[in-house]
Amino acid sequence: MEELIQKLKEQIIEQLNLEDVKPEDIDENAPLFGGGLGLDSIDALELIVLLEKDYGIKIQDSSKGKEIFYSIKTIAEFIKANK
Amino acid sequence: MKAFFAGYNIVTSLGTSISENITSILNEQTGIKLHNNFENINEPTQLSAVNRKIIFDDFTDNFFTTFEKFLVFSIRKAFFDSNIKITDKTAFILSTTKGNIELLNPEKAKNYTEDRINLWKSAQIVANYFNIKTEPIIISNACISGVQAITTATRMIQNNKCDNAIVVGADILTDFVIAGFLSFKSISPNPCKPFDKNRDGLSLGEGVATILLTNYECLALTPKIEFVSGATSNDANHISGPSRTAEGLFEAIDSILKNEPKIDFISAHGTATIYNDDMESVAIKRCNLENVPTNSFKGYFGHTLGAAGIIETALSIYSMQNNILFKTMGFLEKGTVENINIIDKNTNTEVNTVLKIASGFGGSNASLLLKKHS
Amino acid sequence: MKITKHISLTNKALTINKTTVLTNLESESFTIFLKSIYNKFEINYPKYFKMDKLSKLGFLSTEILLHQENLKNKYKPNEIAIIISNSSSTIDVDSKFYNSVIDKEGIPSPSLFVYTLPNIMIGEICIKNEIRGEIALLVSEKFNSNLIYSYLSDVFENNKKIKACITGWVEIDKKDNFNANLFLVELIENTKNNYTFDNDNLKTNFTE
Repeated sequence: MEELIQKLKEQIIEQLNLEDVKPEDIDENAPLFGGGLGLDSIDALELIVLLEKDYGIKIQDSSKGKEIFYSIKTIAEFIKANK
Repeated sequence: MKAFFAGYNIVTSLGTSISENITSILNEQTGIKLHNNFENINEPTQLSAVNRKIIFDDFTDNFFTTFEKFLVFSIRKAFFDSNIKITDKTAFILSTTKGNIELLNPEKAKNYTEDRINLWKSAQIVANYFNIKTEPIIISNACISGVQAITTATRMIQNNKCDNAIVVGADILTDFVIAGFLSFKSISPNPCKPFDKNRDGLSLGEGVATILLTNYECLALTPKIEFVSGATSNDANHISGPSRTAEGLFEAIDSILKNEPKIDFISAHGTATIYNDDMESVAIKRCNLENVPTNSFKGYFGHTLGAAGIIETALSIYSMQNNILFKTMGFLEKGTVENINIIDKNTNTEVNTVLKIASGFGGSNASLLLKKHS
Repeated sequence: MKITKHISLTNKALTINKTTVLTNLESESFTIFLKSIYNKFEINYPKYFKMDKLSKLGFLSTEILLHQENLKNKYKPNEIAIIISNSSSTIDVDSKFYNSVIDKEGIPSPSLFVYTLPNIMIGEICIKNEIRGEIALLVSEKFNSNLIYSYLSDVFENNKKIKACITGWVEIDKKDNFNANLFLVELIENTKNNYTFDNDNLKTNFTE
């Protein structure tokens, strides 16, 4: 789990072009959206792409996105449960 | 100087003329259906596709690209019933988002020079074909381009910069655009349902439309319709999502409605995404226009991007000429944040003043006011 | 109407009112040269790094144009217009997005797609500076001073709310050749650096 969380942090920084953000700056329990990272709806769509491309998980019901993408931790749990 | 309506044509999945489109609209038909023949698109998608054969049959070779054939076909047809002629002071205004984007595919690009993908190149080629002497004006402002192009022509005539104007707008369906909207999760699995409670996304379409404007009142088609004014504004909110308080659209409408006490009809953008339709309802309410009959034409032939504003303005002109308002295809039950007056059945009524609105990516908004002279 | 400020930002240099402020001596890439300007002007706007090249160029050029201008105190949001032209529309990001469409293993990227509309650049500038006036993205083969002059004259003539405009040219082609020339045009008189807003002054100030 720890490993997955660390990897997710790196991927998100890379995929969402978060300049000057380091993995250790992101609290895996903190809300991803509406917080200090300044993520928006396009970033949410980009996270859906990330899950599909790198983890082979397709989110069918996009209304579930809010729960899944609440924090790094919830994304990691979702990946573990669906892999 | 005043800008008068002098001719039009529209091409959508429902037909290649105003009258064919009106026939289908009166029969409550939609041209949106499942398509799965687009290269690189893996899922069957609800789209509104033009019967391209009718357009292609008008040309003997491939001197023009598909996009340019759309333009030439529509402009030719618009002149059939018009009194105006191309002069040295004819303005040519092109509205499109992606033009010849399909030339990114080397197979499609092989007969054309490298610069053909540029919007200005398409405009030059079409302008040369019609022997237009003025420099083409190309507007690429996402989904407001069409309405903005008409406003641009209106202003040019009012400020005595041209005798008449050809305003043409087109976008064609390509894997590029379909994949883009799919990646945005904004395409509905069903034909779109503008302003409906259960709306769940837009339907993408293709099309072309031409509107001709003249400064000579005697060359105007009767009943005479005047393009009074238009405006644009930005939400300054988000690059893809509209402002929840409808800041930009409110501003665009407010800029032109000062002296206009009564609007008979609003031709809304109504893409059928949750946020767009909510935003429009807020803008309409903020302008105290919530009782004005309002429709969206997108349920008939989808969102045709650069063509949309011109197609929908052309149909609004038909409404004014024939005193009929068309129902919003796909709309069953109210469900926008503000309660507005969505037209749910075709209605014969006096239509003298029309407000056309549009909104799009980049936080863009546009408005246009048309008035019938009795 | 006056041109109260002009900036140009190209592969070669950054100029402000015809004075060269920074030269790209080492012929640094687009990304590195613009990042050095971003740092020099102490801009802190994380969203910049999410933008495509065209939006980066338009955004950064506007930041330089409006640096120390205090536009917000002079005008309301709906009094400022942005009319920008270019030649290649969004060809750089178009190619990138198209490659993700034809890649059998890839998934088309929504954050690339959104930038395949050239007016998104104007949206980014409006968001950063809270500008809500008239907007237009015009396409022409080369910078056409007459087009800009004529279009903008009509905007001022027909929308009486508009009192100032950011206008000009923001272009990047397939080979990363870039050229931004932005003008601040104001209805009011300004005592320094002002040229009459006309075709000739747009043309002569334009820096290749």
